Amino acid sequence: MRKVLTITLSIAILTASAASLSCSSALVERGLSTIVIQTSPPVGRALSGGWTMGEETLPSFSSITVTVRGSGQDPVVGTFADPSGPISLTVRPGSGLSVSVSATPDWEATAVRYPDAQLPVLVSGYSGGAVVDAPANGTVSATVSLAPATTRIPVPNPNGDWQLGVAAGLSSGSLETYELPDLTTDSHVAFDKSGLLYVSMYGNVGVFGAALDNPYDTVQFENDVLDFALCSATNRVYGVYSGDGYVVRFVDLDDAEPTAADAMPMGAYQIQQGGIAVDALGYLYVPAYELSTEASGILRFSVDDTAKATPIAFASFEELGLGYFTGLTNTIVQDMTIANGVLVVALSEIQPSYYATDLRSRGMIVGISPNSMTNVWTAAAISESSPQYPIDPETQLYGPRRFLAVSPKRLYVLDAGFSWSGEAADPLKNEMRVVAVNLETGAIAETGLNGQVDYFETDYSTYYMC
Amino acid sequence: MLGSYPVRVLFCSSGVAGSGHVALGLSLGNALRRRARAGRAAEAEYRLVCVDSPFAPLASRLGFDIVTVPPEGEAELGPGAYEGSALYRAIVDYAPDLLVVDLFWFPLDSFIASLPCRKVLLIRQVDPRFFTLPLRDRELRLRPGDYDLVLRTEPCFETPFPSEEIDPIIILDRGEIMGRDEALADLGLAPDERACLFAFNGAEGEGALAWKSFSYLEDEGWRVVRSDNRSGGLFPAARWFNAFDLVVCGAGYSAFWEARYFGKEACFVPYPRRFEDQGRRVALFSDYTPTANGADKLVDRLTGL
Repeated sequence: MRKVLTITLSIAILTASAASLSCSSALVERGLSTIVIQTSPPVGRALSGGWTMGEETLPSFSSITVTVRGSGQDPVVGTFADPSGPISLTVRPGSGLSVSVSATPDWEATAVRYPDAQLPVLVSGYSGGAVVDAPANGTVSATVSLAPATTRIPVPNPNGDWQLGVAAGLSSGSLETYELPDLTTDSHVAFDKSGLLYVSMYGNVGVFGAALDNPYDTVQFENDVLDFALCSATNRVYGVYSGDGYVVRFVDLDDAEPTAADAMPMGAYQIQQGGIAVDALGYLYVPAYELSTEASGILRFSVDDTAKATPIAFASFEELGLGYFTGLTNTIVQDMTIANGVLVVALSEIQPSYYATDLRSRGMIVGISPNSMTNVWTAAAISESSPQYPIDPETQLYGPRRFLAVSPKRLYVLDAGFSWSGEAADPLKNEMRVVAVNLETGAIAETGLNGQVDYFETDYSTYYMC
Repeated sequence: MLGSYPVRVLFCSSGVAGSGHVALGLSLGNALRRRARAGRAAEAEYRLVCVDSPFAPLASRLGFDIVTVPPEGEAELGPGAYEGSALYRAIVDYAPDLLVVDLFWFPLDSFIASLPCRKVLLIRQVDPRFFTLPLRDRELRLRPGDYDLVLRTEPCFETPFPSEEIDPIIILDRGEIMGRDEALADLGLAPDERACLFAFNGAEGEGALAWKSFSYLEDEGWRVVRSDNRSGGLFPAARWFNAFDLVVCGAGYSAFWEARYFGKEACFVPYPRRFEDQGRRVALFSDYTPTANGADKLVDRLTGL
């Protein structure tokens, strides 16, 4: 059943809210308007059979915040602690008003309503928006599609002992942990459109609802995938594994008995280490080597119903500004994803050393336009002329490894590497944290969870320094 | 094997703390040359493969072939991955008859047993914890049986597995260093000067730190020759030992045992290490002078393999 939020302009609230408006007398003169908002689940199919609560439903919310903005108007914000009741706001009439709705899910209440559903309990915020014309003395309706917008932050192996850690946010004092012995050292995470968590594990990708210590479903890859990508356009889960070279494998969830199939090799390109991403249209992105130019870069390609893979576009790492092109070559693409419509690629260069001058612990996150295959922004690259590890950790990265979670305009990234302590016996200090990258500008917006997240990388360094 | 026909010997060290690991390989190289010069064996082909460090160029100063590799971890050296590692490639590409591994056993753990050559592991004083390496999902433990011979290269410590002891390995024999007059002339020192060699090649900054405690020597009239092999310096410093009345150096394996072997008056400055107790080395052996160069004994033992 669809939930109906009715925003009614009332005289009483208008009076109470008038102080927040720039011209209350004009409001009175121009009259009132009523906006009726219907909320709905996200547009487009969710993966793996759709919403587990039912195609037409949203979870229970503990609060809903509505913000109305218009040209020349101060925003009007209303927060409603009881979303089941009537919702009213005071706004000035106008055309092209932006109505933004954000909602906090109440998973306990939702579980009562849908006791058999697999609830995406890591989703901590839904949001959606609409643009309406609100005539004076009139009523307008709009449908706002509420989709998962903010998630808690899942971290595979935060303590290195086969657990899934979950942080509420970057400032969390501790992580909840769940035993998951089938995690691999390369486990990646992703959320589908409904907010269910997918985690790559031994031989499969697990799908997690409310029980974070036990997947309620698995996508069988029959191989350990190094990275995976969820494609709502085709209802496929794609993965990359290391076999005879790097191979793209996929499972079509629409099949009666989904089985893993390998995409056919693309003769002109060899897939390389580093991950896989898929955009809203179903086009795939992988690091690849172009035989004709002997260049490495990012390849855009498609995989059709017969598993034939067709290259579409290629841009070299140099053209994309993705990588360090002088000095050492321990530069590795670590993860790829599509966020905010941008192909985002994390790259790191890790070179432990007993000497500050040789130490390399740096990385960058590059935003790439999927259509033009050009650089949109570059986050946190350390220049060749600087020390090759972060001097200013608030603006630089130690070594981005995994994309973990999203919130509006932000992507959360596990960042792990070294800093230089200068102590003779143990000069390297492990640095492990999560950073939030602004998806519009590429700037590091926030850092946190310092020392609370581990990353599997054998710290040979102290043994080398005997 | 080091008999009348040439063999290919590869020294492998993954140590990056100080010059001593490269110096150890050069000590073996010099001993092989001595043996060949003495007509006791054919000249062996010899190469060092070392994790890259500022001290790698020291090999070429003595005319030895060295290949450097980056430090690699479990991702590169673990089972299923090691064949692509720089270290593994450097070893199998050289195809040695004899592989001499300096202390750092864990980078070779995945493939040491499969290498079709004789293998020798050199161990010096380290904490027994060094012989296990806890990884996230498993624990590496040295398998001494993977080696044909395990040698302890300094006295008074035990390994938690069978091993043989030899004298400390020194880069030069006593007959290979300059006489006093030659050394003084080479350094431009006057015979009546009190000369001190101040040489630190451990971790970066240790020499500067020690200098704060020894700069007074110049105030007291000592002529101090400071040497740092990151930026040149005297190498092997022992070659000029006869020019010096005093040596101030670290207490790492090579620096300490060179000074003891040549009987130099020395001030040793121990620095903390994770698995090595330099202070213990100074406390136990400051009055102990090795009678022989363990490098020659090492070559003897290689001959028997």
